[in-house]
Amino acid sequence: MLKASKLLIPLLVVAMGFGVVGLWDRLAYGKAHLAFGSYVPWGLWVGLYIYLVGVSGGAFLLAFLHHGLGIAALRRVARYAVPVALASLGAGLTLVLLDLGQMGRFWYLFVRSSPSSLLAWMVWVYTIYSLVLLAMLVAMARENRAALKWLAFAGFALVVTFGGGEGALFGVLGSKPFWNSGILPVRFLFSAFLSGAALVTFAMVLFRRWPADAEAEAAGVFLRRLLLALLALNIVLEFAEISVTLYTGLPAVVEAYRLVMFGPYWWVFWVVQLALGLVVPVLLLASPAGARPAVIGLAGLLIAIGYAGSKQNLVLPGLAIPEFRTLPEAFVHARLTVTYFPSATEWYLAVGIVAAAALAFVVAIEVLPFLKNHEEWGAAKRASRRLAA
Amino acid sequence: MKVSDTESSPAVPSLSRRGFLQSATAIAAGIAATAAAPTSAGAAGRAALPTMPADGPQNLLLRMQGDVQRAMGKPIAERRWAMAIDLRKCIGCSACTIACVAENKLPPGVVYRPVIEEEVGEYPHVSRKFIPRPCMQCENPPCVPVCPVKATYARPDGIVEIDYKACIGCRYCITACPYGARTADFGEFYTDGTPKREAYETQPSHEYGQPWTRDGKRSPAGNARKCHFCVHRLEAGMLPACVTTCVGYATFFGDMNDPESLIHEMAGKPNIMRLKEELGTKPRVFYLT
Repeated sequence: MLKASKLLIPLLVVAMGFGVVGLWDRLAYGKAHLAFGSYVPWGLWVGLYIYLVGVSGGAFLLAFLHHGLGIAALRRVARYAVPVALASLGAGLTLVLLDLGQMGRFWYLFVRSSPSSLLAWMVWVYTIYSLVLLAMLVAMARENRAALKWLAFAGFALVVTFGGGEGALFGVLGSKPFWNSGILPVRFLFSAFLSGAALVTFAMVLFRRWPADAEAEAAGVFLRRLLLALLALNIVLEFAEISVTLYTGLPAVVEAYRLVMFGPYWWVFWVVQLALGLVVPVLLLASPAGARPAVIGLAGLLIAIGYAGSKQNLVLPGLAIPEFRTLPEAFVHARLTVTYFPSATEWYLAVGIVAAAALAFVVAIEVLPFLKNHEEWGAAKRASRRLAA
Repeated sequence: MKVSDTESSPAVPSLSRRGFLQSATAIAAGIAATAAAPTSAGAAGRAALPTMPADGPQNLLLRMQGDVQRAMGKPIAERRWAMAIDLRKCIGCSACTIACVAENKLPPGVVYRPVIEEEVGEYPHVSRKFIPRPCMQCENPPCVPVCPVKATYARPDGIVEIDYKACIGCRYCITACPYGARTADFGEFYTDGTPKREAYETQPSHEYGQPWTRDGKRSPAGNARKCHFCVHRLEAGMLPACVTTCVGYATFFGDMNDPESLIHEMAGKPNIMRLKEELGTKPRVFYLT
């Protein structure tokens, strides 16, 4: 077992303990201990859901680049990318399931699907995508390269669909000027690519079980350049969105950005999103030290954290601007305010579910032979095929 | 303490509620008759009750009730319910809000018709503006297409309905409403944290013509909720609760497809406006300004 796995597994199990407490609270007391309400109807879980599903799509991008487009340098990366994609997708969808007011009716999403609802379409896309991911794991175990290639293309088409579709979920809402934008789906897609690729990069460094050979170096060079390119692209997209919408001077938009930058959670924007998620990674990756695997891995971790903050900064400020300025004072109740900070139950469940996903990944790479010993696994499979022939 | 003293005192004759009402009515009628017809000051009883003036506000209610009953005689697809609120008459008493809460047995944190207040002007020329905000029952409701399970839809009579038995509680419709007219039912009770749940909290509401008894878990708990123009009252030929309780007679209601109705008359006034009309939602709630 890798040293990192030995260290992480007990920590993740403890973190999952928090999740168990949160889950018990959610099931026993319903939504009584959740802090969001009717004017801020989505909270930490929804922000985390769109982030984690995006991470899944970004991780899949790396698998697609290897299996679909044949980029050899990403051979090892692709092995880790698929379980990362599956674990993060599972975590995101679990969070949004727990967010439903009537959890027991989740299956209505399949039997009563509304063709006019983007959300309904997304559920189908997620379902097919999760099946593609499972099929990829099977194909990886069987070393079926032809199947992997087709699955990579199919999966990538789904990733582009839901990666952009998630942005469209928010972008189509004319009720929320902060979200209502045509560029939001594109922003979502490329931020998903960036955050997913960044998290897989971090996992590659933390759970390295291969020598520092030429292939590892080539993978490092590729990931470094990819992260820098995606960072640049995201900066351009975000600058375009922020500058154009702010220039219009629409009060609801300006107020939301003011909240993001100078509101009570200003540090999420300046420290988490901008400094940790953007400036420091750019400096790390662009510097001469950026060629070192540890530095690339650290940059990946910081980007992943920063973009988790950026998704919260998109969901919550968009909701925190009321439809009418004095609506929250019209009928006073804790569920009818625009101030929100996640409750202990929300934090516990979020931490627990993310920990469960991380644990699932660590267990997968330690237990599944084609992930654990993939250098030897591939050689052994090839040798056995030769013998059989 | 004083009440119980009075009740137990044998010197005070007991007065039933019916007896009290009969006496009070007779006294009121007497006073009114005296004021209306001083020459017949000695006359009393029903014959002397004043008739309501033909253009009095009470008659507006009677007229609207007639409009509703006439509309209910038509097939549902031929009705088009609408509401008009005269902002010049609204005094911000919130009687409509409370009537709605009582009528629909709304739990904590759920409100269908808040009255938005805004301060206008600067001292010394300051005034307050009151804007009751029910569901707009939009002709192009943004909340409907986003629902992933077809749990909300526009009825043929224009009322946007929520199927409580189908709603999964994703709250996408809440974010889609540009008027903030939908709220989420978190399954809470006013007496949470106290030893006893009061009977009024578990009495059924009759929204959409069905009894809904709350237990904190079953629907409508966990669902999105909103104003439905008291459709259960309309089906009984009654006006929505907010209309009948408006002390300033500022809320008008009826069938827009009926040219004889008061609402049709009101919607044709030059001082009519609708909220956020630029969004193209085509609300069926109008405001007279």
